[in-house]
Amino acid sequence: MLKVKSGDLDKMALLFQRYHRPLYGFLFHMTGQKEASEDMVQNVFYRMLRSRHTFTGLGEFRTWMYHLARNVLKDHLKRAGRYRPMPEWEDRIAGDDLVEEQLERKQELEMLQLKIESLSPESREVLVLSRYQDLKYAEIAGVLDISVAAVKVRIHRAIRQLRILYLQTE
Amino acid sequence: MDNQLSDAEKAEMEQHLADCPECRQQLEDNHRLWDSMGEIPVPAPSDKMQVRFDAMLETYKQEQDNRRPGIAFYLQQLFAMKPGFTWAYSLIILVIGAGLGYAVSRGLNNAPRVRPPEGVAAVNPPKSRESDTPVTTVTLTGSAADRGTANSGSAADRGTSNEGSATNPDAANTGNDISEKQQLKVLADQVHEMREMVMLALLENPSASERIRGVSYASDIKTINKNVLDALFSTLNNDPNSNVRLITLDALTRYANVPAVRRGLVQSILQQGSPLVQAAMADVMLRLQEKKAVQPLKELLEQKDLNEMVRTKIKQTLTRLI
Repeated sequence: MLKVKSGDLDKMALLFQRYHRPLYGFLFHMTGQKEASEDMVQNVFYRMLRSRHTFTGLGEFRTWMYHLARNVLKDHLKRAGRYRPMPEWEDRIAGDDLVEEQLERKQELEMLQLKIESLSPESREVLVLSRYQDLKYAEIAGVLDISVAAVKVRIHRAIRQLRILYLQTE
Repeated sequence: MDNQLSDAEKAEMEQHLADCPECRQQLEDNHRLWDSMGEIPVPAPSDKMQVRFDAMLETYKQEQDNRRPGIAFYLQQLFAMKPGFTWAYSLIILVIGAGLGYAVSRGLNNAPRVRPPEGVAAVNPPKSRESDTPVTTVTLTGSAADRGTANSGSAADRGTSNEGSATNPDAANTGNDISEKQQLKVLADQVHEMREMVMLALLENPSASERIRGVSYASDIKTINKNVLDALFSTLNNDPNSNVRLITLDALTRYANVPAVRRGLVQSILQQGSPLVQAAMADVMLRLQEKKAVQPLKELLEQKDLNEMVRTKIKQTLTRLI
């Protein structure tokens, strides 16, 4: 990224290759929306290009990336409204010849994703960042601009909330 | 569950678990939850992503080439690669500024160089620049250029308006003075532009204190322009260091009479995560009596883990804004 900052814009393509999948994963887990997440990935990379002069090289690139991603996410939520039901489940998991248990499992997982989305954004983001993006607590603290202790508290709360929801309909 | 406990913490936990069946149950539930979360299918991003990105990058590169082929861009590149160059560049400005100052003042018949800066300031208060910029080396740059400009400025004033001033022996050069005045304007503009470039370059510096310096430059720039505003807002919303953001907020507040700045500040409210900055923004909105901030402030209140001090402050602010 430092190379991009100093003018070698083509290196951005490398960064895209390496990071667009995890970034997409983060956004998808946060929103449950495939197309919107793709759009947001492009948006984040565009912002990275535009604000490349604010990347100091002192922290990890990932931290900075997720920081920008959160901003994009915030803008998206503002525009798109708080929580939208997902019409996109059908095409996600191959449906037709699944055995009954597999179908049940599929539904469970769908429900779980919905429950994750019903959490508050603060809870959701710490969960997603730690579970799916594999960020250490210290990194998450950097992305969210809070202390490590606060991260741990949030994760604890989020897991507790989600566990309660998860056990409710088991 | 994600292996982030230290060995000591792990041992403690296992000890507790041996005695607490509820906790064991909880842990088991958590494990199941954790595993299930991992199984949630995520659709793969489409193949079009790479193509879209490439197209976007190309467009951006072309825009960049069209917009800034000039010296400002290369100078910024220089700064990005070698931060130490800032000082070298400042010295160069110093030399150029001083040289230009001497050259121009020598070109005039009056010889105002002998006058002390205070004298200049006394004669021309509207044209004197602030000599109390907090930056050391660049203060030299600033005041050297200032002395050059201010001296020339006062000489031009004396030339064209015939002010009866103590060391003004001459009044007979009205013919030359008009083009000299033009030259001086060009000179002043160039110094102004250089200042702006140094400021923008400082804002990219890896060191937070250098960035703070860069922001403080904004106070010296008389006519704020879009580039500077963009850079300041970008810093306000994206800089990783909260002190830098606070100083930027300060700087931007000074231009709050510009509608675009007020809008930008209001939009920035929800982008701030640090309690210090949030509190500062609430204060700013109160001072500006900016009603448009009410909505974002209310939204901020709804964030569950908002710092208590900030929550109280925002509530107070809201009662005094509505």
